Amino acid sequence: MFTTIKGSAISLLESDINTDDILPKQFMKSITQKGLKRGLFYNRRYKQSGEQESDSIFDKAPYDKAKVIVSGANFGCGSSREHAVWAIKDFGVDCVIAESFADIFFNNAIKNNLLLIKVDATFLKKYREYYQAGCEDLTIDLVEQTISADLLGEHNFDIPKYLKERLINGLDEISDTQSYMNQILAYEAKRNLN
Amino acid sequence: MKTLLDKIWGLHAVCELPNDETLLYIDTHLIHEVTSPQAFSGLRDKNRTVFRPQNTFAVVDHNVPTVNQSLGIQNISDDDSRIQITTLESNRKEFNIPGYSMGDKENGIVHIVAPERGLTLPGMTIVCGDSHTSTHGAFGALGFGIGTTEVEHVLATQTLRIKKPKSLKITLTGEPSTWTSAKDVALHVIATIGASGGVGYVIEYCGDYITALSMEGRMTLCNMAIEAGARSGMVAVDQTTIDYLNKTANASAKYPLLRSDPDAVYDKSVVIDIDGLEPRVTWGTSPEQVCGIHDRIPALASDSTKAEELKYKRVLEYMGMRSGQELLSMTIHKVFLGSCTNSRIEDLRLAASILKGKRIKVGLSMMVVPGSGAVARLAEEEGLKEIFVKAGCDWREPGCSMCLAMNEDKLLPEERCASTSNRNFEGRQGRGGRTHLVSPAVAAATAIKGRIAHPVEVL
Repeated sequence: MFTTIKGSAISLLESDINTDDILPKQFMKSITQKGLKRGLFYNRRYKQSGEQESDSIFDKAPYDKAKVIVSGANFGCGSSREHAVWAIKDFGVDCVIAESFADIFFNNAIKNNLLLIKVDATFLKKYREYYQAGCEDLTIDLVEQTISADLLGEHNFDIPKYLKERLINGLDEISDTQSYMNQILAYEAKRNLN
Repeated sequence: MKTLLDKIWGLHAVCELPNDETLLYIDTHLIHEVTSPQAFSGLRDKNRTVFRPQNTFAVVDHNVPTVNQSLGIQNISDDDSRIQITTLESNRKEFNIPGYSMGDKENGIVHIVAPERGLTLPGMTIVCGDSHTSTHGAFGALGFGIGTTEVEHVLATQTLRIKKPKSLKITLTGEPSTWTSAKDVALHVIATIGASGGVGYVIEYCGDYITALSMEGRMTLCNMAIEAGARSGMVAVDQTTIDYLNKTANASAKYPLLRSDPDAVYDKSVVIDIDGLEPRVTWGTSPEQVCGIHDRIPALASDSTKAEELKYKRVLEYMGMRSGQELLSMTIHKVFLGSCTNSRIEDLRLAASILKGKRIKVGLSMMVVPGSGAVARLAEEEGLKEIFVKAGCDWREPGCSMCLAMNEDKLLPEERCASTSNRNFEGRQGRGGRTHLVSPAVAAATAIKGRIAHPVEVL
């Protein structure tokens, strides 16, 4: 639950970043949600030998404390693994800005309070210039629905009302659905189920 | 006026929620060891239980070894895999969930087992914490992958809160060439609409090609809908569906011929010509990077951006290829015949028909992993196993195996593989491994030649 996110952004300005890339399979063997940050983009950060890549953006300041990832179209495609979202959150990132998101990833993000912001090519073009100039900080105001930075200006984004409220107030979805239990039972009775 | 999607959606809408979402009833919930443990922990943390355990069905597939399964879970050498499989066993016991354990003679890949066991039926809603749940749409059902929080929600309520996806009608026209299978058509569709072309949609496949296609072929096609970004793929119910169900599920049951109305309105329609289509092979690290088997690696498009150029170069470097190189010249080290895309009996029959009486190339290894215990038994009865073994293949026990390489079955760095699976992502089959997605027929021909090969080259 949050209203403002302020911090560094890691830029991965390419399309079709898949969940195998975000979190390789060996980190899916866990039976908990915790401690997945080491696996985040593991193959980009660590050599086959396990030694850290010298140019890993994820491991140098200020990006090692990044709050935002910025990417291209179809972010989170491929496998349904929610572990990818858990790893992003565990790393400390609260928001992904991208041209579009894969459907299952989108749903998984909602459930874990990871804010996803869809932006257009015009924003990304501007943003590219911004980060190529060596800038990395972004401020996201969820209440005002803006992305801003001194040299980037202020940009509005759209978010469905229910998602916004959910991110600000939190929601126990199962409890909420259980308040519809009479309808579920009536539905089952109508179809002669159970 | 209604599409197949509209009809199934309407039949399963418990009620509309205030936020544009529908509370959708789920008929069959399939679970496996990798994406379920945190869901059960979540239930336990809040003192919740499984609402309809009999509508849930468990298999172990992602993590299981494909040798010596009969030795039991305690003999799995990888600690994490063993713990995950043991955890599912104990969760099943605690919450009274039916299913198969490792080594059970009916166990196998979730998307192969469910249709075999009559758990996948026309008109159903089917979910699983696995993106290839789209497979089940082949039966005129709505099947789609979900995340672990959604798994927990379905366990607790037998419903999902979900916005209705849009409908995309893909009509396939013309007749592909003799050796072109549903896998090749699936790859061609992805190449045509792109890896994100189906985002937000459920695809319904239509046209004469589909009408003539077997259930196995329809499953392969629907299985790969997710690689085009669509959460689900589906095919209308027809006599082919009914005939298949009469053999596998319940012969006495009456199944409705559920289909879209002739005047149904789709959100989007695409016509794709597959006339004369030759087998397809992926050359890159996205399933949309596809070309015909006789083609050369395509050059970078002249209007590419700097970012696209960098990506193209990275892909070729990762794959160890150069622009303009002939696909047929690519030396292959490993062949993988398996996965929820292509490990059904029809796939094994086709590959065996090519390998019969031949040997795979010296120095190449080919792994054959049947999709389920039932597929394995049938393959043995039909003499297919013998053909594979005599040809020099490594015959394995059922599981996801080298499709995602969570168990011991994986590629070594720079090993090149012709694989009948569904994803050629970097590192998918093992870090540094190079994957070319192909059909079972091309996989078999490739194993004989030791390089990517068209089936006609070996017959």
